[in-house]
Amino acid sequence: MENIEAMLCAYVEGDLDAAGRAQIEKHLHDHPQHRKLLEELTAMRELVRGLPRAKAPMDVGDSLRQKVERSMLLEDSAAAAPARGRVNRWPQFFGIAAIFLLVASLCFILYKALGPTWKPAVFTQNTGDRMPEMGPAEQPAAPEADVQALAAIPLTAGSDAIAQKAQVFVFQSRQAALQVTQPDLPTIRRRLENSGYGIHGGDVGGGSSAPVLVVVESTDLSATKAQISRFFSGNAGISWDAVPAVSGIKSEAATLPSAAVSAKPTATAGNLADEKEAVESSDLYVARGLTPERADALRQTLMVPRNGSAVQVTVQSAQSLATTQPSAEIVKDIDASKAQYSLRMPTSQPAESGKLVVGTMLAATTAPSFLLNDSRNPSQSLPPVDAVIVLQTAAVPAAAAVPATQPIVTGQTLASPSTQP
Amino acid sequence: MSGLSGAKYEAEFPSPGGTSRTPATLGRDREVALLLKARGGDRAAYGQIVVLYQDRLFNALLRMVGETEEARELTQETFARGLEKIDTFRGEASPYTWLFRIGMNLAISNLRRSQRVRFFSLDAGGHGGNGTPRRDQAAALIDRVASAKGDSPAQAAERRELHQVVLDALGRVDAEYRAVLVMRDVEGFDYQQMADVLALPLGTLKSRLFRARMALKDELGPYMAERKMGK
Repeated sequence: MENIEAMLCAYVEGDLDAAGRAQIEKHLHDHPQHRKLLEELTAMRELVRGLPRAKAPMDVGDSLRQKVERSMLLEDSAAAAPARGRVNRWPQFFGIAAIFLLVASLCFILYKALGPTWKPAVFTQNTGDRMPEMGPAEQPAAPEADVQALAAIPLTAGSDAIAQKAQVFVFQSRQAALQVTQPDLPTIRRRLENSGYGIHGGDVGGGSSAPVLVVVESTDLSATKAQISRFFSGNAGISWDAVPAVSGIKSEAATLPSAAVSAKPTATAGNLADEKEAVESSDLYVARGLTPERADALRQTLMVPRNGSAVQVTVQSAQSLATTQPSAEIVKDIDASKAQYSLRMPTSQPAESGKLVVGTMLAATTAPSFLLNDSRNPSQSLPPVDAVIVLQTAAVPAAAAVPATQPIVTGQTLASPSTQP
Repeated sequence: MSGLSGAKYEAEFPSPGGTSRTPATLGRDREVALLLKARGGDRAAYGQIVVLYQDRLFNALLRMVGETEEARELTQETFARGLEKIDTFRGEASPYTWLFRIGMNLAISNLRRSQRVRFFSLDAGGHGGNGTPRRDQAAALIDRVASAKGDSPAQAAERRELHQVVLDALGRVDAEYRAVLVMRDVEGFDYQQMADVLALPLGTLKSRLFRARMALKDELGPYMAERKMGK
């Protein structure tokens, strides 16, 4: 079918070969109606060919010219853009570099201005009203400098220096491994009460500051006691007394501060032997004249690395003594339910119930300030106790233990605190 | 800046009445050389191509779509697309065939999109770019044709009517048939050029051309019979 149509098309177009034309002519001879059709097709072809030719509007070329020129401009802009971009990026690079340089300079200046002298705030500020709980203090300046100097020893130095440096690191890690154990506050409270010290809640006047609780934990308790003794002896205005254990209380007089000590607020060399004996016989002490500033000085002194020992000291508010669990005496009163609460509190009232007793006690002991004094000898009119010192034996982890025979750091103590009462 | 100049190559308006079927050309080799120069970045050469082909292409597209404004836009779009795709020209076909193929595909796409019956007209072909009617242009064309043939006003009117009937009939046939009729009878393409544009085998192309003529005969049949009876 397609071939016949193609042949008829070629016949109408006049480009059929002779053989094809003869074949078509033979067919048209037999079918005159087909001849008529082909004649009409040929005539119509001439009609289409005779259509006039339209000329393009004048603006075809103009519009296209504008379009092409616009594309050329855009193309030129696109071609020029990268070059401009390359040039324009340099100021950005310079700007970024300048910012980095400025920041680095500022950091360097801040480091130079603040770095060498910048220290954390010390706790001795505003300690008159309330003593905050303190963590382990930093090493004092001189020993710290020694430690840092040792730490700065390069590992390429001699074997002695390397060993010494290693020992410093071991000491530091052992010091850090020591965790101060919270003392048994109810026991301490009971011992204080049994020794005649009364805990007075509320502001009892006198302008005295609240006492502090100094918890000393040492791997060598006797050496630490001797160090404390030397500190007390070396600082005027400090008097102290040992608080015996409850089991050891046989005589109230023995637990009371000695008249010599009490009469002489300032420790002297003359009573040093007795005082030393008293100190070494106990692990709980009360001190007068040990202001918060001096307590901090004591802490720093004890924290100095010693030969084969490690010490951890915390200074906290002694109010924790009053806010701990009720003592056995109080518990007994609570159990009695009807008993009168008599903890020598100024506002003690007959308790109608155990709950009321405890509530009253807590309300009183969590007052902003309280005093610790000798309630059994009010005639002596001694000033309130400024500090309670608790000594505890520290257990050093096995991994941090080092032979005590080798000195770690040359023993040094701080100079006497400059602050005087 | 190089413009789309090239006035020296401006095609001469073909002699009216279809007596000359050969559009103005520079010769295939020169046209190919121009397009190759344009492909090398010589925009002035492409401008010469535009000036050389714009009337011919516009006329062919006008016969395809029937509306002057649409034909104008298609002509511009064809040249723009040609510039974009100029790197694809390999010189195997003539530059006009290459551009015509672009324009014909655009026209067929437009016709398929619109799917409307085209009412071709000599003098109702739309408006110019500035909104002025193109009736004056068509009328001037008809007058020129009639004058050139030495027709009387009555003969000119009759010829004008005939052309309008043919155009109407052409507008009613399918776009594919219209394309082969335009290529063959308006553009004067040979079979190979038509096959290149439509990407058809020669036998299929001839068959389609025959069917296109049959379709046009069906559209023109009543007029032809009436005209024959009138004679």
